[in-house]
Amino acid sequence: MTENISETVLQVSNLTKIYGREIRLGDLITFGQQVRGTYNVSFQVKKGEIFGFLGPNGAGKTTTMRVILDYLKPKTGSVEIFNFDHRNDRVEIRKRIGYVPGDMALFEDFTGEELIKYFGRFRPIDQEFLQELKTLFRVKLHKKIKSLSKGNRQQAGLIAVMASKPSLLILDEPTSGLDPLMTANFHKILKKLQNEGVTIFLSSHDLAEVQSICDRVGIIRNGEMILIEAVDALKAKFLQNVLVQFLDDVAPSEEDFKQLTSVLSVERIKSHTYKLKIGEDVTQVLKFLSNYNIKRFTCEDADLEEIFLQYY
Amino acid sequence: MVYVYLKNLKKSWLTGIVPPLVIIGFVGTIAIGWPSMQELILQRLETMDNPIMKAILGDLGLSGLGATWEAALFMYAGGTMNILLLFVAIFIPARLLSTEIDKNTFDIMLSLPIPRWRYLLEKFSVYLTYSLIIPISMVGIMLGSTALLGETLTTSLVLNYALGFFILQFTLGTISLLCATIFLDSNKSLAAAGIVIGGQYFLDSMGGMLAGIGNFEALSLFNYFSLGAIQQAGMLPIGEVVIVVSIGVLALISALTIFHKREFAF
Ligand SMILES: Nc1ncnc2c1ncn2[C@@H]1O[C@H](COP(=O)(O)OP(=O)(O)OP(=O)(O)O)[C@@H](O)[C@H]1O
Ligand SMILES: [Mg+2]
Repeated sequence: MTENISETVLQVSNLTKIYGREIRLGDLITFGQQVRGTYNVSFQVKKGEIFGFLGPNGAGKTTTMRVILDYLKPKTGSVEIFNFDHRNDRVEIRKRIGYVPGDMALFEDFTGEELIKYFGRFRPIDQEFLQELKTLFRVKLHKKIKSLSKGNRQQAGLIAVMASKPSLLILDEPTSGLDPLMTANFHKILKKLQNEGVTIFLSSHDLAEVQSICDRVGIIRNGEMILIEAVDALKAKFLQNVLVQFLDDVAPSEEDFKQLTSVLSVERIKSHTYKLKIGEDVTQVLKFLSNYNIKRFTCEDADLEEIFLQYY
Repeated sequence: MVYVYLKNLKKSWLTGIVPPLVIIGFVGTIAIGWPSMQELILQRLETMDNPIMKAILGDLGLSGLGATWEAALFMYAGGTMNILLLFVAIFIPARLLSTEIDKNTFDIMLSLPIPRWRYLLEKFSVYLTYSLIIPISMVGIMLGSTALLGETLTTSLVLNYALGFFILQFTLGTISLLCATIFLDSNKSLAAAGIVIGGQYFLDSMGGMLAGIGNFEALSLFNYFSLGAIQQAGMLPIGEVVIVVSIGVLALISALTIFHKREFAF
């Protein structure tokens, strides 16, 4: 088999998931209630990509992952993983993936080691990689799961799921509960896996995380995918923070800035200094500024957090 | 390899050994108190002809009930076995899934590369394994205590009764498992299994009293493989075996199919 770099590993098409059932008797009487999980969600994740899935609580991230894994039956849509249909080839798909659920519960009476061994019976362990995981994480694997703290359980679970070095990782908020050091170590592992061609699909609320490790990000809100962009492009395309200081008294007023359509916000810091957030049309702002004498001008990409808050 | 089976076998050993201990303890107690008990039974023999008394004792259908060791053994141990059957068949299979779902470990189990039918079958096999221990310990303690007391007991009757018991455990277990795959939730599964299996138990034990209204006993699986029928046929009645096993296989296939197809929105 020739390795195609842009090979699609995960293909999600027009996924709509409605929870619950509604029975209508005429116009007045209804039984049950329907809740929208996702609506017409489509995206694809390529081989070797880290795809971040962002969205507020209840947006539909976990729902999407569960439909992908065929835990939930969608109303419409299809999912292909490694060109296998997610429904017809469950076992084939599962041989190649690792799934870390949002609130991962593990067998309480097992020790970490037993857990790893048990999972290893279903998906053969990559011993070398397991050693690496063990050195990067700090959890004491000889202890029973029930005696571990939340973060340590998460670590044990991550090790157990990842020890087989699956080709696709589906991670639902994998770093929730991890301390900053462990999170950083985990990111290192993901980056390393990515270099080896592993594909990673992860949901997160941590924007710094997405910004630092993801190649692309999908933002879901209210069940609908409202944006899919490369992280770099997103930062460039969207907000830029501009600091401008004018030389003499002839400086524009706040009102003048607000006239400009691409200025999203303006803040007067000192009498002649303004902090602006500008959107896509940078030229408009530059043309406007060229009418004035400028002492200092800095421009930088807003971080993802600022961009993202617009979508919440 | 059958790793799900082995893991669960190890995990739920306590559930597995309690019922056999109950029957061993029970028969052992009868054996110890047998001489004085025999007197008591002789005195009460008249009362036992009373239909209500018969119903309460579980209507084992044992003909020629006398003050013999064999009769007493089957009457008391048989009643206990039926109650064990009732509880074991309701509580174990109906909760096979919900224990994992309640603890949330189901989420990750479902992501492992094992076909769903196989996962369910391995879990159910744990129940079947433990189910095997109950009739085996019953046979052991019955034959053992008989030998110790120097009494007599028809071995083939004991063996066939034990076999029939195991077949009933299988079939009632599949019904309970079916409830589990339909409802998932532990309370609902238990309630459903309780109604379906407990209802049959009730029909069987009360059937004698309701005989005037209709043949309710025939609706109950507990009514199958009675000692009377075994005695008459000299073995398990083939017709009954076919019916009971067919119901079990059908329920098992339904459970596997539902489990394979259903969604898990917990
Ligand atoms: N089992 C369920 N039954 C009914 N509705 C559900 C169920 N699970 C989720 N929902 C609904 O579906 C929607 C999406 O939920 P989902 O869990 O996918 O959100 P999420 O993006 O993962 O949120 P979070 O960031 O809090 O994890 C929510 O409105 C939620 O109430
Ligand atoms: Mg979630």
